[in-house]
Amino acid sequence: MKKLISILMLLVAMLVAAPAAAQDNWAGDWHGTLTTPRGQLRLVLTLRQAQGGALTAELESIDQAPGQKIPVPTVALASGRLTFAIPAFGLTYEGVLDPTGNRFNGTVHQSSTCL
Amino acid sequence: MRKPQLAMALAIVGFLVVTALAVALALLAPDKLRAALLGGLALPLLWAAGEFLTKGDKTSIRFAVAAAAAVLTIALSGKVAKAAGLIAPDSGLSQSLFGVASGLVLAAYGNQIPKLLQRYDPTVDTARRQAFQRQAAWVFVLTGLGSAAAWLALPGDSARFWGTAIVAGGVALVLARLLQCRLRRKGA
Repeated sequence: MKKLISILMLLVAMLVAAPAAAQDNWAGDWHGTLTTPRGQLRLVLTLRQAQGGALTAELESIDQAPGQKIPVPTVALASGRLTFAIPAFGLTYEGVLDPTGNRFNGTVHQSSTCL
Repeated sequence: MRKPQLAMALAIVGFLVVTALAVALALLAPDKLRAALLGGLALPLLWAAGEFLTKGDKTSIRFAVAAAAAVLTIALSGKVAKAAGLIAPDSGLSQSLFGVASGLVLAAYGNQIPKLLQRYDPTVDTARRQAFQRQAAWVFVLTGLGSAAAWLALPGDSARFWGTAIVAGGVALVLARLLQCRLRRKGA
């Protein structure tokens, strides 16, 4: 009886602890505001995470082209730093994840302009 | 320190550490309140259940409480370290440590699991039962150590794959052997 309870206790502890220990899933829509000299633009970056953790992304500029998802050829997240680039538009982004894990703070560069 | 006193001391220290981590997580990251509550309440509830459901010497229960506390400590400390900015939010460190701890727990308790599998079946031949228990215990201990080694040595994705595959393989092997024993008994 004691062995059974001990093992059940450990199993329950592991089941409770596993989600807390699991790496966060970054997939989903990340909403952001781009401040430009002509005003603010709302952007949505849709991140998808494959089983192995590899990221793919699409970017939508809600105010400029609603519903049009632009494929992001290069996207990476490492050491709390998100980077992505769309060479066709000369656009790059680099942002740092804040400690809560819910927000990236960063800058968009387009050609030589910093936004 | 005698064994019962050591078990009690480890259980109390584990309880205090897990509670402190749960409170720290709730304060540092209010959006992780669910994880903090689950982690913080799991141990006292499990401990209380263990104490109330068993009679006599509770040393083994308290050692299990200490082991459960270690597992919860690893999971919660990773979340707290991320919330405090001590490690990168996308770091896989706490997941790797949790994998190592889970493997070691399986190795430590591996010899007890097979005893439970055939415990309540009096019709099984004693020699065959003991042989099965010995083999299954070795499988669990080795798969636990193998899984811990995989989590320790391999990078994130590979560790997740091999750490899980080794344990799943071990469990499948033991269940197949258990089934084989039962089929033989029925056929005999």
